[in-house]
Amino acid sequence: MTHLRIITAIFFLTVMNIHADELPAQERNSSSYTRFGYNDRDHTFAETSLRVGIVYGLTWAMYPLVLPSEFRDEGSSRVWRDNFGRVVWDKDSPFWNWFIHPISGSQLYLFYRANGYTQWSSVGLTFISQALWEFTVEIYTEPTSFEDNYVTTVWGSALGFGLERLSMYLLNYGTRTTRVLGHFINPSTLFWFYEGRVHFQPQVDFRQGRELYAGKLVISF
Amino acid sequence: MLKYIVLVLLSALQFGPSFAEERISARSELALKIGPTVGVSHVKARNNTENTHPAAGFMTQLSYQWGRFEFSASSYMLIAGINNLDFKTREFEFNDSSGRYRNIAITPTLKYFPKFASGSVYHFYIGAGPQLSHRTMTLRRSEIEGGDLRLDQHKVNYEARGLLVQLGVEQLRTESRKNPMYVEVALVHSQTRNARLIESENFRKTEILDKRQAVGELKYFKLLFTVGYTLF
Repeated sequence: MTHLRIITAIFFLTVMNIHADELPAQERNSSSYTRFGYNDRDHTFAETSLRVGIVYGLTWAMYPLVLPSEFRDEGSSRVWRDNFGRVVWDKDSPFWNWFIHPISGSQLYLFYRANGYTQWSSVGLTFISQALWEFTVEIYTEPTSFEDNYVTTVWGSALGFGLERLSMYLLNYGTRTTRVLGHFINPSTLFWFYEGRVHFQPQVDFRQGRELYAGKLVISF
Repeated sequence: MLKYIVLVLLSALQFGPSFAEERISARSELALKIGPTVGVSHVKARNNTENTHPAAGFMTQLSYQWGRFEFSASSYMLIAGINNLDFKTREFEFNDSSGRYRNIAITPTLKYFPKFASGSVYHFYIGAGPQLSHRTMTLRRSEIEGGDLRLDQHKVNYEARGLLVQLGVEQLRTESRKNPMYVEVALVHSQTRNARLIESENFRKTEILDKRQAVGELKYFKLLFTVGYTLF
């Protein structure tokens, strides 16, 4: 009886060690482990429309909150009509063109990646979302900017790709600090819609007085 | 020296394998590329003032590769210096001006990968396209005539158009090499079309004080060298 218990324990320890070999040192003594990654999958048109629609709605909601004075002082339905269809080079400072727009684009890219879209689908949807912003929302105060369309989509996706790689490395490294940093640079991984989280929960069930010992590995997504 | 360059080029090509030919002819794929760019910027302005300065920045390309052709929307973001230049906008004359300018340029480019210059790993290409750019002068020193302007609050912005030609070599993209590298040399010639005087006291908001035509007021010639790789 004792031998059987020892053999069963060794079996499960071995199984857990095979898994633990892939884990960082900090996680090896832990009973559970969360792995972060991306699962590309197909989406229906309705799913995609819903996500693009949510992002579009958020841009309308956030605009007056982020830039209240510009929205209040310079925006109007007449300005919106005058700016509709106008595309210009804007003269914004590097703070906006070289910093805010690429970061916005990268977070759009990471949002779609978190929802299970492939890299190229995420680039395409980033372009659609930012074009909706540029051509129908931002024109409430200023005309559409030629370079913003490029910078937000292309620089944003390139930056998003880098942040994706870095955040996955940090999240899977295993320490609390790296995990916080990983979530900080890729906040979409914190939300319910993020599809790449896999939770491993090894369970060993020793029931006294019975000869059958059950063990299982719970994987939740 | 020339002998070694020829030998390197020939060894890079590794003539012959049919795999590369099939791979290039059959490809139909998107690519997002990025790489740092360094180069030399030559500016010619009023009163025959001109100077040459190093330029640095990065380049991105969103490309569609179709057989031996590739269409890409490329962008250069560059910062370069200026020294002792004279230029003018509205009634203001900026003489003996020094500082730097930042430049963002977008170039729709068509590339061609000639069959005779394709090897098993590397293939050479040539490309060309029109370039649209705008550049903002941030001056450290200038003798301004015609009014009271403050260098820390006012900037001059130019829109320019020009032509880019490029020559490069790129690794063949395969299943095992998903992030091929490329090396590219580009020549750009452009000249200004419009000039704007802008007020930038508040970084959140720029105010355009004046806009006028400035055809050929500044002429640029740039030689740019980029080493980059395909992200996906």
